[in-house]
Formats: sequence, structure tokens, C-alpha cells
Amino acid sequence: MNPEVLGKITALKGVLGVTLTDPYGELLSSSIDNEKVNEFIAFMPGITPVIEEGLGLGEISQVVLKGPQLDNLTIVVDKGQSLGVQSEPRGSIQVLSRQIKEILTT
Amino acid sequence: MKSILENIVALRGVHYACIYQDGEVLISTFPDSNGEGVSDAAQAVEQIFSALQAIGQAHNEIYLTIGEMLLIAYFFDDEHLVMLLTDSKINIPLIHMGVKSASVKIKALSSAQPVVPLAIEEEIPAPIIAPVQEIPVQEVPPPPPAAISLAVQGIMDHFEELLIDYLGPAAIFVLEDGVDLWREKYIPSEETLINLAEILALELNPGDERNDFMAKAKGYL
Repeated sequence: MNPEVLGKITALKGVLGVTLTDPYGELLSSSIDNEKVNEFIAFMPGITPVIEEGLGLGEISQVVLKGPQLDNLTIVVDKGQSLGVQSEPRGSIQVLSRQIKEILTT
Repeated sequence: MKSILENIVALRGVHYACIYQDGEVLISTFPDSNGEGVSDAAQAVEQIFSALQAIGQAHNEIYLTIGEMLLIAYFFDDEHLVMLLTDSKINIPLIHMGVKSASVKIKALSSAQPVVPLAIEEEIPAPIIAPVQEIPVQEVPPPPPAAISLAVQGIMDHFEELLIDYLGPAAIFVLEDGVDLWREKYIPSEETLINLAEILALELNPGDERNDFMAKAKGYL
């Protein structure tokens, strides 16, 4: 994932920060200041295969987390890399997910 | 619990649903052949929420995209997980409110304590009663539900207005469910309205939102 792609995602409306980690959980790039949130983003590629195996429905391409009075967290897991996008809680998760997908597939 | 799950699955776009608690799927409409797998998946989702709590993040909704489907899970009361498999294009606020409404009933069912029989310390001999002539007994219809006075109804209306501030139009359904529970457990009266407020508060986010609601609700009592 090149810096240009990360720049485009960072520039999306409502995005507050972006973190990219490698399959070993190392930070490749981050504009999210919260170290614990970055650790959590790195943790996700380890847990999603358990859900995939359990359900047998295929690969999980994206995870979105929401909570009361908290920023939304969108995580895209691909080939062990984890891309975490922190965004404003009031934004539409469906719109942002679609925009991220479009950037990653072009 | 079965009817609660049926109501969730009846929401448009929902294919399967289950309720998970303490490492166990309590009830599920997922295909039986995938029972253990669903339990593993629910456990992994619970782990995600636990990891978030461990880093001080209280996210309680997760949406996982799997091909053209969505796996949605809501975590509430620090122990219950409602997990749904849905179409990818769904009305998320509708699903969210449907599950939120169901969560009140799930919590109420979980908190119901089993009745423990009292220990008999000493066997008391039955009194000797002379046989009496059998008297035909007329069947008595069950008593009608206790009426709600105008004063109580007025305060309930205020509760509804308060709920609308937090939940929007869904407040109407939440209040209906809450009142049903309240009438099952208590005699509707001004004295027990505080219990109704407590039932309704469970529907709100713990912390400031819940405390704020209770403070305002008590202002009407």
C-alpha cells in the first residue's frame, strides 16, 4: 500500500487518522496518536481468521467498530496487513467503507 | 428467549441470529450444521470487544463484511452478544434499534432469579379435619391488568419525552416493552414508577446517558 493511497484515505471527509501495520504488527505508517488503538489495529489480522473459519462464509474484507461517543474505527485486513481508519462518529460508516474500498481497488 | 430471537430475524435483511453469553450460544437460528463454528465466531467477536475494553475503548457494535454479507454483533451489559448475519445493504439504524429493544428483554430474562424452595426444618403434622361435603367451585376468570391512573400515565408520558431525546422515534417501542416488563413485575402505581424508570434506563448507554435520564426521570416523581 503506497503513501499516495494512504494520503487519499486520510483526505476523506470525517477521517481523523490512518494506521497501516504489517503482518507482524509493526507500524508501517500512522497518523493515529493513540498507541493502544494502533496496537488494536495490529491485533485484528490475528483474530479475523477465527471468525472466517467458524462461519465458513469466506474472507472478512472489512471491519467497522462503533461505540457511544467514540470515534468509528474501520479496519481493512489484506494479506496480513491491517489498515485502520479512525473517523468521526457522526459520519456514515457505509459511505466511508465504500469510499475506502474504491480507493483500494483503483 | 426464542420469541426475542424470532423478532430479530424478522427484521428485513436479517438471515440468521444468535444470542451468546459466557462462552455459550444460548439460542440460535444459524443452521445446526454450523453450531460449533458459530460459537467459535461469537467467542472471537467477544474477544474483540474485550480487547477494546482493555484499551479503554467501549465500542459495542461491530460490522464485518464477508463477501456480499454482513456479520453484525452488538455487545451489551458486559456479557451478552447478539450476532446477526445479514445482507450487505441493510437499514442499519433499524437493525440497531431492533436489537436494542430486544436487549432489554434479554437482560430482564437473565436477571430473573430461579426460585429456591424453602428448607423444611421440621415436619408439621397435618391437622385432622372432618370430611366435608364437596362444594361445586365456579371458575374465576383471571383478574384484569391493574389500571394505570391518569397521574401515572402523565409521568409515563414525560418518560417517553425523555427517551425520545436519546433514542428518537424508537423510544415509543422501547417504552412499550419497558411498560410490559414493569407491569409483569410491579403493580403500576406512583410508588413503582421509579422501577419503570430503572427498566427504561437499562436501554440507554451506561454512564452519563443513563445517569442523566435517571436524574431527569426522578424530577417527575
